Amino acid sequence: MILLSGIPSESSLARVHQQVTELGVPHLLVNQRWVRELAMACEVNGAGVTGYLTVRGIDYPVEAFTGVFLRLMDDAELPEVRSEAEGSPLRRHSRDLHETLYRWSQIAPAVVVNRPDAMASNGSKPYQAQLIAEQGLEVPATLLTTDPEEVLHFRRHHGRLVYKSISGARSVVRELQDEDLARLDDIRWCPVQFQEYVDGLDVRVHVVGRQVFATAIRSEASDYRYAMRLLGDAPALTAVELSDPLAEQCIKLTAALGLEFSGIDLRVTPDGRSVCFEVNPSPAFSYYESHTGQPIAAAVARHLAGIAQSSPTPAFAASR
Amino acid sequence: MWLVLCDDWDLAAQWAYQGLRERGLAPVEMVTAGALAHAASWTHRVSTSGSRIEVRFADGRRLDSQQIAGTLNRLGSVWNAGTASAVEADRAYAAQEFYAFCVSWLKSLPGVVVNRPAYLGVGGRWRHPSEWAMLAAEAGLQIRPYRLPGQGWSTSSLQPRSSAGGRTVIVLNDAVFGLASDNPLAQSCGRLARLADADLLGVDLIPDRDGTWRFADATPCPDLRIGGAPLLDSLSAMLGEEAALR
Repeated sequence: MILLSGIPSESSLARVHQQVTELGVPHLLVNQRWVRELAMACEVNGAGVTGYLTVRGIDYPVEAFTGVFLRLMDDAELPEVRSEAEGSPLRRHSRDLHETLYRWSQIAPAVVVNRPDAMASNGSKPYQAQLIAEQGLEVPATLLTTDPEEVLHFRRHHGRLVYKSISGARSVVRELQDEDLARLDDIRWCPVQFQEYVDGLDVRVHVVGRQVFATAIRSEASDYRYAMRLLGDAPALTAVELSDPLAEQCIKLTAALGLEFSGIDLRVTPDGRSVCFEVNPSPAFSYYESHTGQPIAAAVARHLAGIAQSSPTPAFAASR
Repeated sequence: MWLVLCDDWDLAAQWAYQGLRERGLAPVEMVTAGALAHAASWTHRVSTSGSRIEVRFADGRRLDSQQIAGTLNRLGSVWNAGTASAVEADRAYAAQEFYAFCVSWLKSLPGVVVNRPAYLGVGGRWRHPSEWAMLAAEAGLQIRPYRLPGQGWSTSSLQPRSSAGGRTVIVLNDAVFGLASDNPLAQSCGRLARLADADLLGVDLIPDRDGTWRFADATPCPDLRIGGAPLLDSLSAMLGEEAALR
């Protein structure tokens, strides 16, 4: 049985749920907002991990779940919990429930998309960049410093630079402009990350097990996610095909990070190099799927069900 | 140069620092979390061809990863004096940024690093007790059932080792200190360290009423003094090994 949990209307979860349903695989969709009617208890013993997930009065043994897809929102922000007083019984129940679900998903003998601790590498972008480089992919030259002189030197060497957050905190990638230099002294308080500007075509690669879906994104913005806000112009998304070696590298990288499903951000330069910026362990793939028709949710559903995928050939023909 | 990275109050690290110097590793620098928190400047580079860190300390010392041959890494926490003085609205973000920065520069340290940092643990990968219990059982150690939710953060926190007659075994690079190497328990502890991908691991064991030793807890940052001089000999050899190959 496949366990799906999160907010059912959230587009990524909704798409995977639809595909699991169409596959006809036994599954259980658990709405986080049913928090009052949910309970979970597990025990780790010499035989492994056993226990029950109770959903609206029905007990499901956790050993029955062979596939797990979690798209959990912060339980403290659930509408049912948000207005609760600190330490209230419901708030404590919600925390215990989510902590148990989270910890169980880390050790469950199941296909878990994705295990929580494997998702952590994205919490430090330069740390993850070192893991990416270890797998043979090119990463952009990066400087993290509290020294303004080092930034100026780096800029003289590389020309155009961007700056962005070091941690997993979402930030808009911005290009370092001449007028920014006046406040460069501010970096003395805490290291800031600067990167060489890499010109080229953005490609988001979704890897599901050994299946690869690549999407090219054409945009004039330095961060296409904010193209509408920054330039008032929506990016154009197109399904593309990766070379076999590059697809294989993306599969290898995903596995090396302990992930079953990833969203890899590449930029393909005019001279044909593929530079990897980061690996997203919880990709909001529905944005790409809805623009290109690439069957990413179907691949996730089949992966959760343990149905062998055709691999590693990308599922879509080139359309660049 | 060899590094000992540790929290300010880490007596076991100070003991290891002295012991490594006595065994001929030179120079050995001890750098504490407090010294790192007040560093005058940081420069960390990451690229396809490798990564590098340069730190200038308030006392004039300078750390350049190109000069480092090996590191004993026992950092439990990282913080930054500049971040602490940030305005409240920025403080949590700045602390998150600084932590992410530290995980990366620690990963960039060359040579033998005991233990390698992970995002979940700058001094070695942190694991929840439920995960330790699973790994310990897989390694062949007897475990007491661990229940979720509600058992807290440590499998042994309610059971002081001394009063329970417990013992700590240290595994360093497959060698076990605190038990005879032919003891099946020692072999299981070695397996646990391998499963946890930890070069250095402390394993707490407690006896049941029937005399069976059971797994209680594990840490990548154990009290090294338990291993005594033989552990220091192995640590010194391990840290010096790569330098000898250069």
